[in-house]
Amino acid sequence: MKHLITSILTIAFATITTTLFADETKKENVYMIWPSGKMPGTSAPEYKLNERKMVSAIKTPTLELFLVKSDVPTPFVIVFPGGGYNILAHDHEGVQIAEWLNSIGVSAGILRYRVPQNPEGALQDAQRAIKVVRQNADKVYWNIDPQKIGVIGFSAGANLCARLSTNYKKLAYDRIDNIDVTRSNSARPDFTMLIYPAYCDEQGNERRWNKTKVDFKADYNKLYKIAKNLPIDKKTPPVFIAQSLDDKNYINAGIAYFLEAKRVGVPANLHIFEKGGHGYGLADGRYSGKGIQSAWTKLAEDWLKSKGFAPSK
Amino acid sequence: MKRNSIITLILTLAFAPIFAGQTDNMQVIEGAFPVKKYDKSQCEIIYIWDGVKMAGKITEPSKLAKKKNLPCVSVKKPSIELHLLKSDKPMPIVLICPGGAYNWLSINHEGKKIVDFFKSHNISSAILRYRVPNNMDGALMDAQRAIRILRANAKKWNLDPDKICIMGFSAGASLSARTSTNFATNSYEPLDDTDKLSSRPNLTCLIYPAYCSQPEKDRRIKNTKLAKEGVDYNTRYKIADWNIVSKETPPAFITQTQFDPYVDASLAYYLALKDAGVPAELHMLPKGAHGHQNPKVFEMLIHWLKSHKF
Repeated sequence: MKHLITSILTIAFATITTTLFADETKKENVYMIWPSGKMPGTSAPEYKLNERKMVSAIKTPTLELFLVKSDVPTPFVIVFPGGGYNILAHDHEGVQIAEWLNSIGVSAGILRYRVPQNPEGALQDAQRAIKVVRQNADKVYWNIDPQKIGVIGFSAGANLCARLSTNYKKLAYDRIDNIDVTRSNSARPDFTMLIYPAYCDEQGNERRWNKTKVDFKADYNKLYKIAKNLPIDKKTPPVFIAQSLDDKNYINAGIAYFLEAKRVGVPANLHIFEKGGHGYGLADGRYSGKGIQSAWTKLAEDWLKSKGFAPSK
Repeated sequence: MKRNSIITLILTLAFAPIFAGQTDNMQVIEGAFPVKKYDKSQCEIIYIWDGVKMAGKITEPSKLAKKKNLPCVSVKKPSIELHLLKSDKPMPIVLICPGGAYNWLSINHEGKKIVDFFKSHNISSAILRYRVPNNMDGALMDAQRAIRILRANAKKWNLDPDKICIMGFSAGASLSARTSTNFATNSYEPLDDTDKLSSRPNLTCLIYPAYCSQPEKDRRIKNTKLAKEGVDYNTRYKIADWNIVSKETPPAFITQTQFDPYVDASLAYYLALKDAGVPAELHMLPKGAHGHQNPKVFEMLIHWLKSHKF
């Protein structure tokens, strides 16, 4: 009887520990980007979901890892869901995107940046997140190529990507630990992907934060003026932009970023589809209908492969 | 006979890089599609001004162009080379306008290769040999009448008169843009019943266009210098005055590469269509010289045509 109980307990113990600590086979992992109590700025008092089950308040920013198994270090993309800087569309602009990236051999991490209404905190989270990824790149579990760390963002998330891609030289917070101090942990993404971006045009940015009206009939200089907080220069990472022409409220953001990148000489892709509207994610039918704009994932995949930011099979 | 074909082969190979590009300060490269052996019996040539007095004038080829051995340095009898496919239903058709800076016609790289591309996707097409050299007015007359001829013969050639796409490359794209935006006015006095039909294409496709922005048009026509890239988008991307964009302008598919010296043409035309509320698809890529035909973009073109029921 004693032997039987010991065997059962041993088996139970082994099962519990292997499932809890099966890091080698687990694909997902949640990483707190700030050390406990050291997060700069403020955040919401508690984590909240709204009635549509979307994240509407973040207390503790995290990076949710989706790592692929590979013999060689892989590229990595930080995913920035959209939501107007008020919520996080964590599923169709987060998990589904990470899974798509995994399917083309790229590791991913969904950044739950601070919302609502915390653009400064969000930028701090973005800068810290990319440094965290660079710092951990050579760890066996992460297995990342530190020169192939990019960002992909949707709508407001794309705006945050744009801000990170053009504001990486100066840290938006005081250095905390080794991750911030290590010189080789640049906050500069190696590549930027903006999917139906928002607020990258000056008028759009003003409307979001100062509630001014957008003049849709303005001339090109006013309509496509790049937002003041996006200082694109020759060192800005190459960019891939996809949007739909009937995205009336935000299409000027994508065009503004492209025209400025073009003016300065940053290699840029701009793909504008006739239709699709805004907020369609992969547009593969799960969140919104499958339209011609779903081709953006194929174009993005080709772009990543051509630059070596996704493995070519 | 054999000696002639060998000479032709050598000349073609020797001048293939030139065939692929344009003359005015352009880097010249080969295309992405293989050239199949050409069977003349598969196509029909229609002379655009057959039976009527040709509107406008003709021009003589320049000595320089003749020296460079470029194809089609002089078109005095503009024509449509039809490549019709068999079908039980009336078919859509793409009217292809090769480029050549309005001085010659890149008839292989931007003509025959494209016919083969559309054939492989079961789409009928036709090559427009418009008047060159330096005959912008004549070229537009040829294009307008060509569209009308396609419509006039829709029944005979089993075409859908509401599914005519005009597609151009470089200067041919400039002509396609002008044809797509000047249908409200006749470029020549109507000569017969054919001219009673509309010359408005149903769709427009511009591949590495040129001269669609006012500064580019000025450089081509008046030899003014192109200003360095600055923040004045109003001036740089202003639509050329020979393109009258309105709500009625046909939907367009446009592509160009960022470091192409003529890149502003794409943006000028696209932004004008956006302003006018006309649906259009745009693919701007960083890499690729003027003249580069990207297979992935051509795939997107087929998707776009199909989305417009082609």
